[in-house]
Amino acid sequence: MDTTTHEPAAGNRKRLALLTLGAIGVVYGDIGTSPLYAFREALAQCADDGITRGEILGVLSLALWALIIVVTVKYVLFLSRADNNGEGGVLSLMALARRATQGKWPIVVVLGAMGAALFFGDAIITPALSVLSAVEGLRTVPGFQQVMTSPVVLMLTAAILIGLFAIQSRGTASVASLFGPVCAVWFVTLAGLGVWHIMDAPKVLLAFNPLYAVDFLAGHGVAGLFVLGAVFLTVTGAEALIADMGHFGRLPIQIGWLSFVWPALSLNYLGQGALALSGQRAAEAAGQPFANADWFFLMAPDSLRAPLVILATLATIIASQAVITGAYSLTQQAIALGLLPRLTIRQTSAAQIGQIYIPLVNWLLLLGVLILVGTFRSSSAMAAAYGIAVTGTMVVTTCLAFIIVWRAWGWTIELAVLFIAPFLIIDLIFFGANILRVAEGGWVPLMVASAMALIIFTWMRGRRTALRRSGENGVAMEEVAKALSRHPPVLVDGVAVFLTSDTAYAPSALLHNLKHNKALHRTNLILAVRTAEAPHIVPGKRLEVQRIDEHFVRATLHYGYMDVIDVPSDLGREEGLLAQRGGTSFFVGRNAIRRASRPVLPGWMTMLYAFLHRNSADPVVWFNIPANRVVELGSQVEL
Amino acid sequence: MIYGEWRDYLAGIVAVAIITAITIVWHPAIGTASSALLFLLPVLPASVRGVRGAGLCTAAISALSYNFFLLPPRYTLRIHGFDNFVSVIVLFAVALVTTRLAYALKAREREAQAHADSSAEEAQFAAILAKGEGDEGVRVGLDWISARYGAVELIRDVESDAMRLGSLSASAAVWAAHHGEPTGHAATVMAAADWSFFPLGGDSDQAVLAVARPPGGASRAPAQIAQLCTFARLLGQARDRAALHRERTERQRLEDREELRRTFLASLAHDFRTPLTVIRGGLAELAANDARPELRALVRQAHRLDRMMDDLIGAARIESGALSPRMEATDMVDAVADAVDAVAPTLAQRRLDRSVPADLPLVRADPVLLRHILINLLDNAARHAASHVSITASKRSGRVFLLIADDGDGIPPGEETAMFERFVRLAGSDRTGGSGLGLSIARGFADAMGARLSAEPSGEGGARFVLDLPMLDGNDAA
Repeated sequence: MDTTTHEPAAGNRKRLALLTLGAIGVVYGDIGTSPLYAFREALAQCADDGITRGEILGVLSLALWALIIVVTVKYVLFLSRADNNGEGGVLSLMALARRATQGKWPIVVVLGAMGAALFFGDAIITPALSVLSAVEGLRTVPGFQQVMTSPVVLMLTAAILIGLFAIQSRGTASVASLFGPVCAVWFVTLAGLGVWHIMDAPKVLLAFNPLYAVDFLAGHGVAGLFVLGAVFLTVTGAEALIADMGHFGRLPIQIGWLSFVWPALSLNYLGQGALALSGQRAAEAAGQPFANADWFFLMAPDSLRAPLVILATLATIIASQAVITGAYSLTQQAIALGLLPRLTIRQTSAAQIGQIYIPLVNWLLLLGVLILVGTFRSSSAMAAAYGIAVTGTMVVTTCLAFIIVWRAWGWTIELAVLFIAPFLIIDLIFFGANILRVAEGGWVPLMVASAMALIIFTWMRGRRTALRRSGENGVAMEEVAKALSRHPPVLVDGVAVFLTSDTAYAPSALLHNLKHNKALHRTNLILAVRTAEAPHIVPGKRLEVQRIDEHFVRATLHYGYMDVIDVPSDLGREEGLLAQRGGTSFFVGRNAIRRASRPVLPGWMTMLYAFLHRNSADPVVWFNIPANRVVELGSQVEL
Repeated sequence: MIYGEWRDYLAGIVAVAIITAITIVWHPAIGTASSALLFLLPVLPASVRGVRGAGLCTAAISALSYNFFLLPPRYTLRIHGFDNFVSVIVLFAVALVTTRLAYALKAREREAQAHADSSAEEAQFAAILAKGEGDEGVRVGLDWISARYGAVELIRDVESDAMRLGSLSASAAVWAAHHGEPTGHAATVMAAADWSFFPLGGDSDQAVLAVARPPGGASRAPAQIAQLCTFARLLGQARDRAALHRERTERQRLEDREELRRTFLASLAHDFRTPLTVIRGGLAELAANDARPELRALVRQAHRLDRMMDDLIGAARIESGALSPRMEATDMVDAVADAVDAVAPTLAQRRLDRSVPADLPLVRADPVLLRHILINLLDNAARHAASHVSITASKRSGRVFLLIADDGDGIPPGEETAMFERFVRLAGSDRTGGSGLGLSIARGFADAMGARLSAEPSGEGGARFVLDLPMLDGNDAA
């Protein structure tokens, strides 16, 4: 979907507006809830010795310029163009880079796997942090301070999160239409509160001068880096801008950011800064040290604070929803690209393709989120853990973008380095700033990411080895076909489809079937299903057929990594393949992994791979083959 | 579902306004706590029709109004103290639950209604199918579905007929027919097809009902798929009924024709018999007194006609199953002599070798049927023999064997059984005067008596018929 190429007519303009509204609900939820805690956390980093006016302006300047450089320039203007046929996100970039390098660079896969792994770390922190910080806002409501003790806040947060994850299985399509309007109200509120407080201290606009940021960093040394790590919280969620590009298209995302979200966020940060400035001035006049506070909620007058907390909670729920949906979608892509074992994926909407629910991912995320909430107990403590996963993903994205600019766009290496280096340096600075906070909580996303990386690595290596093993013991398909044509067994009507990973060799299911049933179907289809490095492949071009002899046909189905797999439909498109007397049966070999006497993989890896393999979802469901047409035949693979 | 009908929203808002007015005016009398209860009421008119959005909206407005107009500090949205917060939350929660309950009730009602509708539609369809005679019912049924569900086709043979819908649809149609489950659009299998296919079931595994996907890219609802599945099954039953009806009519027609033939045969045999007997007797008397050869030929032909009549009657009796042999002790020697006399005119030009031992034991047979068999066999032999006919009798292991052989053209190999069928005249033998019934009747009579009659080539190149009969006392073996 390329909306940039044609002039928007009246109908298109309405469609564009609707898409933009939808994007505001899904894409900007995460970054839109950052004002709840980002400014407060950044100021907190320099609060030890009291906060000065220069510090307020410096932090504010850093936040504003982070939004400009990282989000506007890097993501909205640059990375949104590095799309893979309209799809963005770290795995789409990986697929594009892999295609551009003909799959020969292992670093591409490593980067993609790291990006995916870090995203899962991100996906458990975002809901925990944003919902917790919104609920904490209740403390600022007059009359609630005594009731909203820490356990109550935690329990309320846990209840909201459990509720949120529990309704995922029913699909969110029915309420998704509310996301856009609610978020639009949220951003208007952000902007309104900001403008209102900027009037208190118009001097805050000085923060647009980047010199304040430079001065601040120059004057604070290592402490400045800590502040930088916290300032980074303002741009968390920027990754979603490109990850969801396939759903909405580039133009609605760009319009939404440039004309609506960016101004609203900037105004709100300025408002928070103005509030802090006036507070600081008052404190100075009174001769008291100036303390940090929950600036965001303090912006609202007492009487409107309760509605604001409710609105903020809604916004954070929507943001969490976007991250959860993103995690499903990323998991689905990772499975399609062979990074993860197949998991059970359920379609939650019959009418809308792409509304999916992955039970295992859902419950693991909830578990992680609840553990996080229980361990960190406050949004301030958790904020320390947040940045590292997001900055890590950004570094990975920038590296992949470099490969794409260089190999796919055909720029010279000098030009590519010159173009990417500034972005990478900024990313690395942020990453370095966050590395400093590993001990404070940054280890949590790193641990989750390492576990994911380990699973991805084991799965990829195990599968490659298993494939090689079955290839070593395999019999070439041509030989089997020739032998069978010399001594034909009993022929029965119908089509037998043998699913295999390598069509060069006779599938073990076929050999087993011959051995035990002593019969052969009139047509035997040796079928491999492959995932291409493009997001979509048109239905007419998916099937590739090669006839071996009268009874054997070799076929390969190519799917894009975002396509919905439907093997019967795509086989049916080929004329005269399935439309035969006797019906169609699918034969699937089910491998059991056994440890070889001379193992190829380390012991723990074989065990982990065997575990993943055993628990991977039924391929039959994955391929959309009706269960009553499937024959499973077991065999063993030694690793 | 979120955006319901404006009437429900309006009802909610009006109710909130009324309650607000009442509670403001009589606030001192009602008190704040009871007012909270009153503010629950507006949710009822808004949600009673099951419009979820209206109920939720009213709940929110109700809670806000209560907060704004009644909770101290009044005329602000500020919530003063946690107890007031609790009452707003409870108000909202109760309103929410009420709406949900009303909605669930309404949803169940709709479900029941939909179920009743689909049953009614099913009954209507079945009635339409039953009204039309045979294939006409199927055609009317298809029109009826088409009027309700868009383009419909009945694919009679999926393998040859479905290809015109495109290869994906053809595959889906074949799948539906062979695996007996709905396929294609909005089904689980091959949902990418533009048509939905439903197996007719019953006797045919080649016919499916095809229904086009709704125009405009909409997706067919699962309830409709289930309904169409039922329709296809009913249609299949109607088709089977029609086929059964056709088959029964055809069988009836055949039976009627057979009956007519039988009646004709019987009346032919009986009504011709009497005049024929008179003619034969008269001719025999004339021939006795007159030696003219024409007369003798006339007598011979009358004899033949008489035998033919016998055959026809015999055939009719076998056919009608009215053949009940009266078994008694019969002397083979007498029977053969009698039969030879009867066919003497035909046998006259042939040499007859008769070797029937005088001491042949008695056999168990119906003498009338046995005579008829022997006459037919001898007549057949006489007509086919080139020069001579032989009759040989012997006994062996409890049975008496009678062999009647001729030196004619013989039996073509493989035709030994076929020649006993009715109206069969073997090719290559220009048989003179046979009715084609004789051998068949001989076989029929033999079967009825428990005797065996078979044919084989004779030593002289002609045909030999073997009749074997049980002895009267089977144990009296020689």
